[in-house]
Amino acid sequence: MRGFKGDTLASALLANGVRLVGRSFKLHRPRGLWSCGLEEPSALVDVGRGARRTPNVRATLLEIEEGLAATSVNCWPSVGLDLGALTGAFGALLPAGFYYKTFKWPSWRWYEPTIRRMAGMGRAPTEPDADHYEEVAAEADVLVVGGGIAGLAAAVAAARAGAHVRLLTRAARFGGTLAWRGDAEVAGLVAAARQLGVELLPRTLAFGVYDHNLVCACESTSAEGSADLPGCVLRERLWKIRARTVIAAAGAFERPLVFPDNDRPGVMLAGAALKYALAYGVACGRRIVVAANSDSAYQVAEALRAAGLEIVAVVDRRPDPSAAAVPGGLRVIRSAALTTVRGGRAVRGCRVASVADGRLTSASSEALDCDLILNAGGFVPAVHLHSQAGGKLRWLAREAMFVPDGAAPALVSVGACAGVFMREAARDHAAAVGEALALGRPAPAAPPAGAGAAEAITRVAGVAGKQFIDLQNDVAAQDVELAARENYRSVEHLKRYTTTGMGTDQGKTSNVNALLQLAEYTGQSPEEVGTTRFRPPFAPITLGAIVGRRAGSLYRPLKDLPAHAWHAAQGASFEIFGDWRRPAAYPLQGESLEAAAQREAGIVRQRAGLFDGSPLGKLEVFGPDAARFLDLMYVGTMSTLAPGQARYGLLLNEHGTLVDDGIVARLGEQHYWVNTTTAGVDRTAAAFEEWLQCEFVNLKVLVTPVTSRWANVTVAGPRAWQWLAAVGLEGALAPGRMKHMTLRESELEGVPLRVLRASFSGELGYEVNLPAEHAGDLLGRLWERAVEIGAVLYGIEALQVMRIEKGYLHIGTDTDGTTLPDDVGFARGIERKTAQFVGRRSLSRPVARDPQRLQLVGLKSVDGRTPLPVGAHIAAHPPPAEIDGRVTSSCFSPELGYPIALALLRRGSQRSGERVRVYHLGAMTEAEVVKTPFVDREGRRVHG
Amino acid sequence: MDEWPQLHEDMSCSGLTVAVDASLQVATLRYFAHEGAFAEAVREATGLALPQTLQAVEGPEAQLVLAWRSPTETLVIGAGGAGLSQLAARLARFADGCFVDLSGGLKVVRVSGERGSDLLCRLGGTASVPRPGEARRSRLADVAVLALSVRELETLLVVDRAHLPHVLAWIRETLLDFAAA
Repeated sequence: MRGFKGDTLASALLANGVRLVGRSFKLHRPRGLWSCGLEEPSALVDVGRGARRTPNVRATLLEIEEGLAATSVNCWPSVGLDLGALTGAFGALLPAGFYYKTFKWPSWRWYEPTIRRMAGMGRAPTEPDADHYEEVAAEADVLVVGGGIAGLAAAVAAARAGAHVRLLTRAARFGGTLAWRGDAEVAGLVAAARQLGVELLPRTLAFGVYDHNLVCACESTSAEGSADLPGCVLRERLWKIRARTVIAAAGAFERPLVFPDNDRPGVMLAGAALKYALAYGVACGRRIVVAANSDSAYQVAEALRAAGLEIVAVVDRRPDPSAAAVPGGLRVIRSAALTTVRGGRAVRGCRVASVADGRLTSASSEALDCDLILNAGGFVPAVHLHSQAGGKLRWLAREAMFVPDGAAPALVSVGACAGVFMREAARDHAAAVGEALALGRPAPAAPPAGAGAAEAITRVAGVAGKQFIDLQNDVAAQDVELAARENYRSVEHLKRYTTTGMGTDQGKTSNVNALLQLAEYTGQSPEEVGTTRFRPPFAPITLGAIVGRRAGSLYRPLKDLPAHAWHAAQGASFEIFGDWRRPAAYPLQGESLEAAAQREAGIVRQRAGLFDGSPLGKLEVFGPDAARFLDLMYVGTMSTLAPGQARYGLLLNEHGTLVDDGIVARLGEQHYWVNTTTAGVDRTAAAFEEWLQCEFVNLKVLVTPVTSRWANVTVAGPRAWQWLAAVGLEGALAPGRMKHMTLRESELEGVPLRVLRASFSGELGYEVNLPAEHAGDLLGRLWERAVEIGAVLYGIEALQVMRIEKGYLHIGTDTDGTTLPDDVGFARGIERKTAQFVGRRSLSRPVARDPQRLQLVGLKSVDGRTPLPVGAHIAAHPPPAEIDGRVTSSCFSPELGYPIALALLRRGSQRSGERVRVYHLGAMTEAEVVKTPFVDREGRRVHG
Repeated sequence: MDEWPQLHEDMSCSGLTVAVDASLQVATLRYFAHEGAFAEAVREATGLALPQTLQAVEGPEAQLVLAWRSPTETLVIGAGGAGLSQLAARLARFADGCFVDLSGGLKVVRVSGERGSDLLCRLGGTASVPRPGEARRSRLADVAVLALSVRELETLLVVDRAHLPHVLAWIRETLLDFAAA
């Protein structure tokens, strides 16, 4: 197909004689071009190929490029021969909401797969997007949305008054409906705007107004669907503009008339045909009938006649169109409507009959030969941004349209979207608004005028054939009538029941006709019915624009260990744990992750292992009330710790639920070191701050997160101290001189160390905290001596194995949002503590003392072989059945040689020795409830 | 072994240079009140008062920058560790405030050139862009960053070490687009 530079795909198709361009959503009826803008419901195409395919692009907006590839959507095998059109034969059986009524028996699930396959329009690409997108933030004193004459006038006036002004328009050229007419005033305003420093952004669609005057807009920065694009281009830019005030100059859409078979290719909006003719030099047809409900029909008819096209007749619904509007020489049929459209894939003619009050007044009708039927039913101001900003609407009965009822908060509408259709009035009002807002004065009210009179209801009663309201979703007047008979009185319910106003066009040309029909059928006024709530986006935007740079490696911020490169060099297999990329294990050649973890855990228990625990959460708590504060926050008592001592603590919320755990060590009289879980450090710090700022306001405490400052190099195993001593740690840290759960400040060749004797493996353990930049050095020094120790590097997976063997709790894995301290065996700690602490009161509620609570226990499979998978249900009977608990952690114990698990089990603490059934994916395994720990029950190993 | 060798590569395009300034160390001053013994000690040690809300100030001979981070927190950024060590020693004895060394935990990215604000507007919101004398804590590249400026055409981004590769990758992509435009 050939076209000219500047053509849209729509204008090029029309110029090449293509009339059938799409299929409707439900009935697959043939459809042609309906509009010339973003309101287009029918001419949707998938553009581009492979990773560059964009679905559901409106042909009316798509500028053609050499090599453009576009295909119609929702049809197979082609738009001309669409097997889906067979559904049209059953159209009478598919009224609004048919699936709610007919697909209930035997079950909706029988039909759902087929319905889902049929639903949808274009096809999303399956490959990763080849291009990229960015977002940019900006500010403006005055932001003008719309580049027509009203928008330009407002922007120029505001800039002249000294405001910083930005102006956005979706179109490539400024001027709105005048852009293609070479209008001198538009050219003058654009020049003035540039001279005054107005930042003009063409090809930029403002699609949403959000809180605090945030306007989001999408700018197209490269051609859509071109085959000639380089490897990776910046496709779109998302603008996030904070504006002191916004001026909406978004224009208006044309409202179509409702008559039988008004969806045939060759029926279209009158203004669209005029634009195709004058802007693109394309005749949409040669013999034209204009269906009129507005004086604008005559302007279009006259202009097209002047362009050399034949106007067969203007068929006006109204008995008395404005005499001034009717040009001489036109055949005008008053008080009449189209009752039939001839032609399936292209209009071949129509029949016209007299009507009054929406009903036929005679049985006779006149046949008219034509190949194009134009709709001029009035106007629909684009009030979407006004509504999104919280503005109200009012109904103008004479013009049959909704307009803004005053200004929205910090957003003022001007021009056609405010109901001002007279050029001079729109320009003058917009300029006055621009100046007023720039100077911080109240904006003058809009003077709606110029749209002319229009009838609200254009449907023809008592004639055969579907009279479509929503072309994209195949919603006809009959569907709205059915909904009203079924007592759907709210326009929101009507939308959901009939699907009118849904889809890619969101009812730009159908909403008003639908609500007017509903008003008629339910005896309400249009104002009482109102519109559906207009929500962003105003028009479809790509997911890429929303995602911006958050794709691939930037999808979400992940944290790297200080010694990430060192671990990579040692062959670490990285996985993501709590937003950190961490070594899961260090597999040998050909070794699986699971086998590596088994090997690593085994060697740690026999000799020693080296682990990077740097992500472990770390907080410094300082202040004269630090000890008292930590007593309030933790179940454990921290105020009795002497400097250098450490204690395990459980952190509860006010419901008594476990939210984190960790080790608190005292560094000085009013200075504590708090280790949290890796994933829990942010919520712990936030909880500390919240309690300090909202409840314990008299306590003088400062909480400083220091996780990234301090790396944590953990050495565990019977030979742990031997290994550390070999690299030069001072003898005062030896197990004989430094007890388990103590912390010493030390140094190694001038590098400060905070050495904590603690263990999550159950072995003798040292957690050497040191400045992050030295982590790689210490790891390297230790690793150089690993052979003589017979030690190993171990990752998260081996650590999990060892902590399960020890029955150590992992918050979030072995607990959930209901787990209380008693459920995990910490009742004694609470009983011993006399002081108050957060959550304590909730632990005395009846539910906290319920003997049926889930409690953490150990499990081992009875056969000694079958693993007990995490998430498996413990129940007396096969599912579906009431469950008794679930497996929370599971592993194969290299120490014991059989699978073990932790589980939350009802009355678990009283069921030791009992056999339970564990169900998972249809299989049942018998397991025995056992006490933990599984290994080293006396806890001797941690003491070295 | 370098933590991330690629971090030491400067990034630039016309009108913009971005580099991790490894010579800068960062500590935080935490205090209960803006006035008092601790604040006075800071003034004596640095020649600077604790900054007001959103303020960033540079000390004599550009040795030290103080940047407001929250009502009870001021960041200290200085070249070399010695200055910070001395400051830590002088502030160690106070009960109404403390010095916490965050060197290595917070990294400083220096953004220089007239397109600096263009870059920052693509990393976060307009509120993320500090004017000279300002420090603004906001979300840049989806992570918490303190952006501060003490002179024209230069912004320092104080970034958590663990998030630095992410922030730099975002900047690198943006600069590629700048260069391609």
